[in-house]
Amino acid sequence: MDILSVKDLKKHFGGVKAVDGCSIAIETGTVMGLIGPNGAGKTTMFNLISGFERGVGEIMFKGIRTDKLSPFKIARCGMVRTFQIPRALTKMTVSENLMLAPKTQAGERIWDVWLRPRRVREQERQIREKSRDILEFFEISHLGDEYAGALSGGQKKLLEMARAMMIDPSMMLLDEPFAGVNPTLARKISRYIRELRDDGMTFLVIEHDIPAITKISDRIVFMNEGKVMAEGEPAEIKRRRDVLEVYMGGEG
Amino acid sequence: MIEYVDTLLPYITTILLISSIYAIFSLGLNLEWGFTGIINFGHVAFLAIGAYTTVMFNMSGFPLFLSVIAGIVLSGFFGLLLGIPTLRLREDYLAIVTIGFSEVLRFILLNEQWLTRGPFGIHGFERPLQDVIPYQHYNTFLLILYLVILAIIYLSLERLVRSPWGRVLKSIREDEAVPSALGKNVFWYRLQSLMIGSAIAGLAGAMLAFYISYIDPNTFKPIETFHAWIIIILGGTASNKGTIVGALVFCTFLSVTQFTNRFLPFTAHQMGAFRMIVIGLLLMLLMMYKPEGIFGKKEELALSD
Amino acid sequence: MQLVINGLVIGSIIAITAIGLSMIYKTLNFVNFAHGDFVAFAAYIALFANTSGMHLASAFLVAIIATIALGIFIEKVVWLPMRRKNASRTTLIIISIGFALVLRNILIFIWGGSTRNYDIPVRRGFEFFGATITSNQVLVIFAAFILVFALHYLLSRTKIGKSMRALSDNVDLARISGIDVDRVILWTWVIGLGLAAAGGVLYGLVTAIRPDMGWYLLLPMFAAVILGGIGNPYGTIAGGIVIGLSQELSTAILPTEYKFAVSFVVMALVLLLKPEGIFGGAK
Repeated sequence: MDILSVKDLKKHFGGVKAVDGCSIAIETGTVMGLIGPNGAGKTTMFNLISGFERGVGEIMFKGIRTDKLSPFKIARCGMVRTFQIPRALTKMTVSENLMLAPKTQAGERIWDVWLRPRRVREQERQIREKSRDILEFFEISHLGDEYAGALSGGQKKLLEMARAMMIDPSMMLLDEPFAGVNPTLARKISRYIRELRDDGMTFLVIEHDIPAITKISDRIVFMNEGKVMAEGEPAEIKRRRDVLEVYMGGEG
Repeated sequence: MIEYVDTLLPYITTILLISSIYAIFSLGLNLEWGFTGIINFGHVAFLAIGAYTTVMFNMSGFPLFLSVIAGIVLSGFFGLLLGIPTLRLREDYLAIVTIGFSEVLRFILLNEQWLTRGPFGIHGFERPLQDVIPYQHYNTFLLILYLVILAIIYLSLERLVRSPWGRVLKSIREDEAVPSALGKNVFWYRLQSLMIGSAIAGLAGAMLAFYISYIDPNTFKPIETFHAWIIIILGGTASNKGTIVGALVFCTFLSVTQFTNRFLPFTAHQMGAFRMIVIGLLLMLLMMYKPEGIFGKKEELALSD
Repeated sequence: MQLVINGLVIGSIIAITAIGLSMIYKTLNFVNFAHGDFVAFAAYIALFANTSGMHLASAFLVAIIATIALGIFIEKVVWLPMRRKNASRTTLIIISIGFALVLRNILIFIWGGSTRNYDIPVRRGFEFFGATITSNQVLVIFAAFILVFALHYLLSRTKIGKSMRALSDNVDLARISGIDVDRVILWTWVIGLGLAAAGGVLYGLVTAIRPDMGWYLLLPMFAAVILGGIGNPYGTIAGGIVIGLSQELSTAILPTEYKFAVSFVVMALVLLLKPEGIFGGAK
């Protein structure tokens, strides 16, 4: 079953065709890698799918048309994204960052803060526990009380993923999870992605690090100049001439 | 000694009364700006709406308590009306639109004399329990009442900003893309913040009217909004405690400088201008060198990055 | 007809004062709430020079020079250091409000809060299609024309003018292409405030001089800037004329006191419906 299908998606900025008629489909419980040179339209694709930008075309997520929905509604459907430059809330602590995320918190409704204080407290306790578990899963429990602003770039990437986990998404969009991350941490992130996939989560991952992305992906989409140029299993894509040319062309 | 106390005590009462009104007024703005990051340069409009609604409802026969409630509700409602079209605007546009809103409102109050008696203002309206409390103790009574109200507002706000609701507000202040990506309806939260902040300003408006027992449109000039801004910044953005201390410091400054013309060779209006120059400089210097204020935490301030 | 003429006069003053606001807004990326008070400052300097015996023409020049000097001073001690610190737009806005308070109250402190007029002979106006035009009004429109042409020459023909336009088009691009940004910003202040000062002195010719005249001019100026598209000097000029005209013409159906509200409503509508401006500022 496809959890996400995108049909003939287009986005133009003035004369520039950032995304020019892309169609992709992702099967539930798989990792899809999205590769391509700079300016290929990968991040724009992300913005369109997560609702941060409006384009033309059809996006179906879990059987719901999401291309006209605002970002927060799409997130509520169970799709959560990270950002290329990690957006940790630096003026809040790491655990506050995590505790922000869960949906349908009673304490987020002003009247419940007043009328059902016990329920709000009880839920806060559960959420705090859950955030502890997730921090443990990502092995950053010791950072819980730090202000997120004090974290390293790599740690912020982990924080973003951990925060995304808090809303129990069915699908995660990761924008360059390995960029600027040291090799140890990168291996860790790959392991988390595989573990989560085995539990049934779906991933769409933008990445420049070709060896890393081919290792974790079930399928790979190669984009260039706003179009999908190739799609297939990692081994297939690696053999494709046009892909090699784009990636090797610049370097030699 | 006794005479000294006799003149000093009413004086302190006055300062505390004004401080408590300003504190509540500024707490409303602190919710909007300090916790949510909404630039509202028209906060004084809601002070005016609260004051005028309370007085006019009461004069047309409603019980005083209900009139105050009406003032609060109507202020919140106008916050909603202002917010729906404008809260999606960029912060600088919002600044211009809100300040324009408060000025247009003041012009309406000045010119629609059939409704508001225009520049002549309204006086001689009822004040809470005025027939019960002896006149010479009235300000003391008012002070106690106002301190109780301040305590209630403060505690309620503390509870709100420490709740998950407040957590969402703070995340919006820092980077609204994050709560959006996590499924929070950012616009609705901003709207709630503006409504509650405005309703609190409306309450402060009713309190102001009772204290000075006279209102006219020029009580509600834009400068009052900026007084609240200075109080917040002085006390440390996003600190309710700081806002209250800021209000006390600021009002003490305002009132003490009324006596310094004994020491400075200024006329009364020069003294007034001098005071505003000091206030303006204070605002500039605070923003330039100590934007986290006196009591604010630097780590928590989402201003200058 | 009378209203049209009054509108044109006020409109041309709004236009030339708002150009500086617009250019600074775009290049420095913040709204200078003190801009109106610079306008008032210029009017008072001219008043001071004029009442101490100087001819109004020389007082005009003195006012412009004094205003520019003040602007450069503030750029050096406030705006430049704050840019170095990467201060947010909000921080800059609040600082500009603080400065507006300081400047306005310095005027009140020295000259008091009451209205003043230049020491010039009052001449009778002449009839023109049933409307009365005073020679001062003619002077204002005439001067505004000259200033606009001078500005046009400066922006299109001189090197500094071209860099100013490049900077207000795209700050990053300008920086990369080797423009000395700080110097151009300084010139933007000089020209923007020079025009604001000129507008302030002229404003004093057709209306009384008051310390809060700048404040009441601020909202119409914003309206002109928004209408014309931020950073577009020609759009701002058109916007200023439109705002001036609509303010005056509104008095035919609304009480005069609501002039100010008219510019607010026009601006709010543009912001809500077409925030990139009406007059070719769209990008």
